[in-house]
Amino acid sequence: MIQATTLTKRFGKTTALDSLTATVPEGVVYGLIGSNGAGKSTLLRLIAGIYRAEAGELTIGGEPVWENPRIKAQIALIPDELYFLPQANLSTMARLYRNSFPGFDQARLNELIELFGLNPYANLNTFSKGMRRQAAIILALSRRPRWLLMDEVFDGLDPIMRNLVRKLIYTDVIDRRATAVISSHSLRELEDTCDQLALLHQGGIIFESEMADLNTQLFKLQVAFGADSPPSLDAALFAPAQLNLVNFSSLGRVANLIVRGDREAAVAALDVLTPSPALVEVLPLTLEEVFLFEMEAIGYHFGEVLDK
Amino acid sequence: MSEVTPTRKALFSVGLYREGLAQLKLPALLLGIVTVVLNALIPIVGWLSDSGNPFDGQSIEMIGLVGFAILYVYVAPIVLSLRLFNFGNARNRSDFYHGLPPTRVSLWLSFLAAIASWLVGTVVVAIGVSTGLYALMGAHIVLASIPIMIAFLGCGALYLCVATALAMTVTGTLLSNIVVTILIVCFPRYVSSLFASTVAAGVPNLPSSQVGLFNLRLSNTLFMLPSVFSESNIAGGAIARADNMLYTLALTVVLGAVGLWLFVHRRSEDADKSAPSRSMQLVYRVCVALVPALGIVATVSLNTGTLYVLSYAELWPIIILLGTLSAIAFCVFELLTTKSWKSLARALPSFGLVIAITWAFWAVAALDVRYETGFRPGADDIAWVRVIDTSYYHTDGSGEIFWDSEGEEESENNVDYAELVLSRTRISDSAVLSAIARQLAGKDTDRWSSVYDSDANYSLVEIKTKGGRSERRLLVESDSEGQSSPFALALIDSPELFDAILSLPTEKEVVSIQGIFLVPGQMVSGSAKATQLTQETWANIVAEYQTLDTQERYGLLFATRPLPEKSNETTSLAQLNNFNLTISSTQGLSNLKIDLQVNDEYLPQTTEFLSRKARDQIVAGLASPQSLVQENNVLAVYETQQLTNNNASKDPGGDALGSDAGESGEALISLRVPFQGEADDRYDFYVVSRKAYLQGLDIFGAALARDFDTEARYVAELTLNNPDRDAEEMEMCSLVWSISDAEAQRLLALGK
Repeated sequence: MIQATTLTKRFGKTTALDSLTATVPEGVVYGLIGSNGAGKSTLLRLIAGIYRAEAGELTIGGEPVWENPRIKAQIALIPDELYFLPQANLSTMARLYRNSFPGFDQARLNELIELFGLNPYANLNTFSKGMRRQAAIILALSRRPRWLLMDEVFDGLDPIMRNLVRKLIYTDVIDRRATAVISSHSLRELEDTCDQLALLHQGGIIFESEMADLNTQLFKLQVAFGADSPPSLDAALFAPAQLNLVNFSSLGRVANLIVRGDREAAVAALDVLTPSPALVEVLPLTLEEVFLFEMEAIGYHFGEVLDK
Repeated sequence: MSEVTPTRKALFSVGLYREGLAQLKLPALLLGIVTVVLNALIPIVGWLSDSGNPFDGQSIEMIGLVGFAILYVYVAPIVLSLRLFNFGNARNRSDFYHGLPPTRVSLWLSFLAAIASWLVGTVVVAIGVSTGLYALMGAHIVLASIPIMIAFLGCGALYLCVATALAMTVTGTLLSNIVVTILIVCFPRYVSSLFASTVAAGVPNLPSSQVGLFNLRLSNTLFMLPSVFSESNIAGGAIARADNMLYTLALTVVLGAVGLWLFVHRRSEDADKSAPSRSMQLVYRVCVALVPALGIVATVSLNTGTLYVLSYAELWPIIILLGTLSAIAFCVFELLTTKSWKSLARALPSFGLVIAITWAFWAVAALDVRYETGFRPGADDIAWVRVIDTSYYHTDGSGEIFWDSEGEEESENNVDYAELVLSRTRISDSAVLSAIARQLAGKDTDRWSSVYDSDANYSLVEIKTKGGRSERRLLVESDSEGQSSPFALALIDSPELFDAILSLPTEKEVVSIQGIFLVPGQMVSGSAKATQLTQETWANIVAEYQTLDTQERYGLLFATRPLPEKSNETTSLAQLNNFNLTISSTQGLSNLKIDLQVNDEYLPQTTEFLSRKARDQIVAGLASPQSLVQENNVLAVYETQQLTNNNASKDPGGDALGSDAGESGEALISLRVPFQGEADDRYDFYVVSRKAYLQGLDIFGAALARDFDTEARYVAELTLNNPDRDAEEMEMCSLVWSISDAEAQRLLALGK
């Protein structure tokens, strides 16, 4: 289990992580989403033992990661900005990995190279962005890590490769009970991939949730009124229902409510409204909608600017 | 096979070491190949330019072995360190390496070890190639110099490598890497030199070399590398001084420890930044600006005051130029490393710090000048003095006051024994102390206080006061007319000084004696046999020395006398009666030498002992005559009566001697081993066949087996020559022995 407790990391005067506390259980795919500069990459580097926190504690399996070769040997980080040796090919990089990482599996490397169809002797500088990312994934997975940290891992990959990478991650998680922590702005990818999710903003976690719970705890109520509908629908109309309203919008006689809480209870609460809704429908939210509504709820939105 | 899981306490990672070696392969091989090829070219070009055998017998050491490896030592450590530690210059690279499982200690040490391996390996190969080629071409390789040169170059290379790695730890761009490397290596030396020059300029009798902390007289071998061009041989020289190498290694360890600590605490996110913090950036730019700024203080000090050279009117342009350079260096460094005008604007006020430090430097130097010039203790205040160096301004020994070594240049590579003893003897003789106190109290215009006469001779003296203060000063030994100063005269009369300088090293301190291994091949230096002979010879010398009075001891050690002529007594011809020995000794970290003439005058028993040993060697050599067949060896026959009436025997190769017996009436025959090279006019006359020479040796050997016949009409003289044609001393030994008339006739027949 990765345990971050009141973790604080500063870069000069900028606080990248501010007393962040999070828990990543073993054997899951853990997604990190957040605004730009929320601290996702910083958190991944702290987990990888690259950065040292100014305050707080970060442990894996109860042991601190910083300068802990035994733990670091079980971690593989695929950063957003990849690094390869100058003029290196996959074979050269494999040498570096063999020399640096205990448990590097050459057979696995060969197998993955064949699977991805990359030339192990081609200069990595000649690879496209997606191929370079494939190379990084191959090298990371060949280490058979227990903790796989991936920053924007799907960036640059075509849909087929994304599926392949997803499948490989699942295989490691299921077969070896590895844990994958993935940060991405591609919420669609994470929605399909993750078991758990954390939303970061300004160095802190807004919420941490299992994906299944995420779709039930935050949902959309589409409420349509009949002929007795008020001329204009507004949030005040729903006040008697005492909903935990995250967002409200309306169009004609139809109101869209983003509500946090229990679905049935929320639907039942609408019975107190006058006039009564003609139709109430509960709709699941996409991860992107969840992200947007949650961020908007904490004031991170540019809707007014965009509307102009 | 992958790396074994490292532990938290692991100091080294074999995997990272291998990786470091691999990553450096291209630049290291390129630099190495260039160095080795250039080194190989030196003897090859020498060989091609001389179709004969250009290095036959020539001693090769120092620059001959090192060659272009010197250039390599200045370039490769920086290049290789920049290559391997450049991960600190880019964020993604830095993150990658800091994310590796091995600890930062392991990472730093393993990579350093990889660089060190390439450096030392290349130096070894380059020297090995030079050695091999020279040896193949017939040169005599001074084997002892090989490990010394490897250590000498290796120390410098490691120092530069660690300094660069340290610089890269505290910087994050290529430019700042290089600038800070230069600052680490050169800035402390630059500042201390400027300070010393500034203070010395204000204190006339204080040499700048003596200004500094703890009177530390050690040098970083990195700065000594060019001395391989100037020093003629390695024995006893500054290059071979272990203390300098140890000092350099100690500096390397200190820099390494600091670098390691900083690397462990380095933040990966500092990559790409010229300095890890604003305060460090401030330190760098201030140091860069101080380079010309401190020069202002030194320039003014060196050109004003006691050493008045330029007027202030002439100095102002220089001051303004240096000040402007300082400001430019300050701005350019900040701008290039941060690439930000805003940073430059923010940094500008800190130029005040440069000005403040410059003033502080001047103030501290001025205070030190005042402190040093105030050192004028009375004779009663002085506890003792010691003469560290006589003839301080002259290295050729011409100014020495105790012994006259006129015409003989002092070797810079050996410390003279007397000089060393002198430097270690604390003199508390009241006459000496009074003379010194008078010189120190005098004014610069006083005859014996001025130190501006370049023709006068000076001694460097350490003066220890009863209050515990220790200072070094230049004192006049003798003026330009050669008249000794009261200080020098007092020294001569000092009995404690005489007792000290007339002592001899102990047996354990004597390392070797040159001049007793007469016959090539009969005695290998360092062998048990040679060591025994050294010990026996030294025991003889010491035993006989004890029987001499003070005057004789002084005469033996220091007086320069003409070579004694061979005695007219025929019996003395039986002996080798003059040995020029050089006693090599080691005391502490100093290698020293004593030149000793062993002859009948002072040490007859030792002379007899050495003669006997020499004879034994020659007899042994005759058993395997190859060792006596040298290019210029001479076996000559003389009529004893005629021989003792002239000095011709000293020059059997002279024009007066001929193979046609009796022509000159002196030499009857000279047998010389066939000359191997082209005909030489000087030798043609004497050349006989190799076979005849060997037959002559047989005849001579038979005579040696008998006692010397004082009534013999003929004597034969075997002169063995140094096989090294370029050696200053050609003749190695000469043994005269009686031969019978029949043997003389047989020898004469060989020459016809």
